[in-house]
Amino acid sequence: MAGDHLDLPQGTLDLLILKTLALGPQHGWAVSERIQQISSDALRVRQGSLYPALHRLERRGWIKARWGASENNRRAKYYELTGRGRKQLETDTTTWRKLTAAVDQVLEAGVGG
Amino acid sequence: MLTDFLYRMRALFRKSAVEREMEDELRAHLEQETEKLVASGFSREEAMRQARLEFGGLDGVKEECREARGISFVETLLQDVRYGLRQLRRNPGFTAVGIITLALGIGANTAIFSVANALYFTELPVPNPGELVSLGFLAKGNPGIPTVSYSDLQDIRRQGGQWVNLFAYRLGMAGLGIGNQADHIMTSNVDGNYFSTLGVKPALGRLILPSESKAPGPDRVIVLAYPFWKSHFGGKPSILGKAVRLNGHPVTIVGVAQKGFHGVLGAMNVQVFLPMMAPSANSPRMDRADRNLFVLGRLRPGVGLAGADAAMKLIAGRLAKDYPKTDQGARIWLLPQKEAMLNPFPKPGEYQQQLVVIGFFLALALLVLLLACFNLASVLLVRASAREHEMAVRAALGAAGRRLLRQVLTESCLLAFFGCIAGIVVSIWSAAVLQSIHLSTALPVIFHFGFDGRVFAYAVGAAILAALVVGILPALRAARANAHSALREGQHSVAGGRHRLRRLLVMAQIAGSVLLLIVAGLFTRSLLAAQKMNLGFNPDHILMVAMDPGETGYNQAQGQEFYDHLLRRMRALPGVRQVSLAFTYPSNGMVADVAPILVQNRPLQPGQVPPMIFGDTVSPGYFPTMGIPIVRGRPFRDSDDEKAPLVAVINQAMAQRFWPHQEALGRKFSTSGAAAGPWIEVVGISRNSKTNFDSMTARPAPYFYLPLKQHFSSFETLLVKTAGPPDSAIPGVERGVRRLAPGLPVFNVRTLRQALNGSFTGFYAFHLGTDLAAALGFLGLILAVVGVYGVVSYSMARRTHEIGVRIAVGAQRSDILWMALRQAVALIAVGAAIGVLLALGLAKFMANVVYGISAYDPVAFVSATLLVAIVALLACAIPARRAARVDPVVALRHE
Repeated sequence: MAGDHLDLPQGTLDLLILKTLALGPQHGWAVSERIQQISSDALRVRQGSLYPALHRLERRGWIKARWGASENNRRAKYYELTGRGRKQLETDTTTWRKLTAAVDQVLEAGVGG
Repeated sequence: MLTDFLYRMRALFRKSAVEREMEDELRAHLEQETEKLVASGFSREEAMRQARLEFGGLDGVKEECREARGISFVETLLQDVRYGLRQLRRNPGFTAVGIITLALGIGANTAIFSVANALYFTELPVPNPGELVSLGFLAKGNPGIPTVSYSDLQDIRRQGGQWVNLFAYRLGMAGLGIGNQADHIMTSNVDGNYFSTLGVKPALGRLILPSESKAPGPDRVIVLAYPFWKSHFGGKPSILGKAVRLNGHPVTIVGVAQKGFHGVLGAMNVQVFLPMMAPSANSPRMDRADRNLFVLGRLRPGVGLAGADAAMKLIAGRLAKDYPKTDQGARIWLLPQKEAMLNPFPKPGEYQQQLVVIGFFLALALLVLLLACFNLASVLLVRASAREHEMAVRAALGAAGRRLLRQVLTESCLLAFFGCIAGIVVSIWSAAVLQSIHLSTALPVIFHFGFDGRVFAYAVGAAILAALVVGILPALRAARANAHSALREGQHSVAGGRHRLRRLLVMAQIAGSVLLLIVAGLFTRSLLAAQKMNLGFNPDHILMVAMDPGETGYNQAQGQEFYDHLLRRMRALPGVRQVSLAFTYPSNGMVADVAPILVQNRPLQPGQVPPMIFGDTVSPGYFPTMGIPIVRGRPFRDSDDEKAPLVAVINQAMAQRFWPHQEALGRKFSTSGAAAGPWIEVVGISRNSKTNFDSMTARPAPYFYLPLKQHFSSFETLLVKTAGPPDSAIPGVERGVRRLAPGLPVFNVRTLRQALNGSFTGFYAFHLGTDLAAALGFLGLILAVVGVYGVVSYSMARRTHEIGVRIAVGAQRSDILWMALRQAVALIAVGAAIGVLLALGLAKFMANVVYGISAYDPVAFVSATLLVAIVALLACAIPARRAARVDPVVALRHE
């Protein structure tokens, strides 16, 4: 089962969390489910690292938390993107695109040459 | 940034709430995961197991979350503090000894610094005290007191006013009469610009005005110092405009100077300020050779000390040219006013010399603190070796080396923190003791040995140093604890290196305490030498009482009559052997007379100035009272009065100086410096003795005595030589004075011995130095003994098993005893040798500074070394004997 999943490269977890939360406020468990779903189960968040990342993002002021009721009426901590988080998401996305494009290019060149 | 901060703060202060939220959040996650798994067909139990497995270690995640919140530093610090406090509580004995040791070390340092601070680093309570300067003036033939004459000051002001705004003051004693009672008080005559230039404000009324004190005249006003106003007038504002008498002259109180200001000499408690030219007391004469003013100034804006000093040099040259008779070879210099805080007439370099002495004692105190720290470090090292295994386990479990180091340091910091608090208490107490020591000075002094910011900072600095010294060695050790080797080898094998370190520490302690005790020994030798010194007079059984009938308004005839009656009455008292009057006496520091001496029929060569010589005015009984023999000629007689020819007794040094290889008896000299006389005939030559102004260690200087009746002074000290204890004469003397002149205050009542031991010009400095050095040496010795004892008993405890084996295979008890002592003897011998070597270097320095010390004083060196060696060996004997008595059966089971 583990073999089917890609481990996340360093630093991409933050980006994925921000992207997920851009779609609407979510609690922690839903965030990990969402990432897994959207990536068609290819990406898998180590749950142990999800919460430290959420806390880190909250401290940076990119997301904020409030307590609410979950779908099945449980108390849950909902995270939502802040204005600064949205801006951060844009920058990070651009950076990521540039990075992957550059890596692609290098890899293409490597194959070609 | 702000959210970050708020988040951290919230996390820190609402810790339990945040923790709870985090737990809720994680639990909610697990529940949801479980439900998902149940929905996909797992049994509830299996689902829970899977969810947990998936999640990973809950505690690890929590820890990571905490770390992500970014409060881990403060939190772990709190953890460390809690852990450290627990450690300290668990070892109450060590904690108590540690705190007491540090308290003594830090307290000794802080107490000595608080004295240094009060004496040398405190500034006047005025704006910009750094701009204030002290002006010194010396001309050829002047015997070394760099005070200024009124006429010279006018010239210096006129020529140098653009560099520095100068103002003069004088100090004196006077009687302040209210009703028919007079108080003996300290006065300061001040220039009109004294207060304004200093920047002192009135607390009440007004201060001395610039228009006052310009010329001799009827400015009959006085200003009270704040402390005096509080103590003598209850701080009542109604004293403004009150009419009182100063030395019998009517004066009006016009104001009170600002709080905290009692003159420009730090320790001197001036009680009343009056205009410089006030007719009531102490106004200066216009004579250019009468140098009686202390001069301070404030540098003009933009003027540096060096520039102003250079200008003064030029002015001095001009004065020397303009007034060759008095000012030849004149030198003028400016020094920062802080150098004149203790000494009204500082000379360049004196302040720095005193700082060296203060620094020397501070260094000794620091050494004591280091010894104390070494003790604690050594105990912590032992504890660290006991905890080696624990540390290694924790390191293996992933605790960062830095964290372990921090934990050990936190413990030493906590110790230092408590030690610092206790040390501050100790130093407050010892400063209070120092402050209460009665200085036998003729002038009222106040010392503020209290705590100010600087003293506090010094105490904290000493505590930080202590924390580092105590903690750093064990901490480094702990951090280097190699998990691998420690776990594999067990704890005993690693302790060897640590033990070597402890032995080094103990050696340093022995060396330090030997050094301290040698220094104490040298100071004791200095005190003994000073006390054995031939004073040239006999200070035993002499009671002294000072008085000034002028303070209650007596004129000269009335004063003379009062003194005649007093002497007669005192002579009749039982148990009184000799009675006399003198203006000043040895160690007093007050100058009766300093006069330019001109010998009759010996005109000055061109360019020559008459030398200034000190003298005293005394009654005929002075020489027998003091036990000063007249070697040739005669002492004074009662018939040497105002109607008789002027006569003088001079000491051998003066005879030698003015009439070398000639008969001095019958020669005449003048004390006016003028060729017209009046001429005074030498009728007697007294043996050299210490005089009022010499430091006790100076070579005998020329000195002359004049009969009181020919040179009346209202202020006199009555000297009573008693058969029994001099104190017993006090009631009789006081009763006699009261009978003759009711309301006349007497003051400075004490024995000559007390005066000698208690004054700076006497032996006070010797006593103080010896006491301080002895206290520090004693502390050092105790610390070293504790250190040696600790190291030997620990090493014996560690070798219990080995000792058991030795005894089992037939070793004698004496072998074991020797084995235990051998190690101690080596430590002590090496440590003492190092201490002696260091002390040799220090003694060379001290021999130049301290009286009566030889750099190679075998008695001090040998006795200090032996003392440390013997006491340290005795301390070792306890654990050594314990080791020798070990029962092999018990010992072999020991592990």
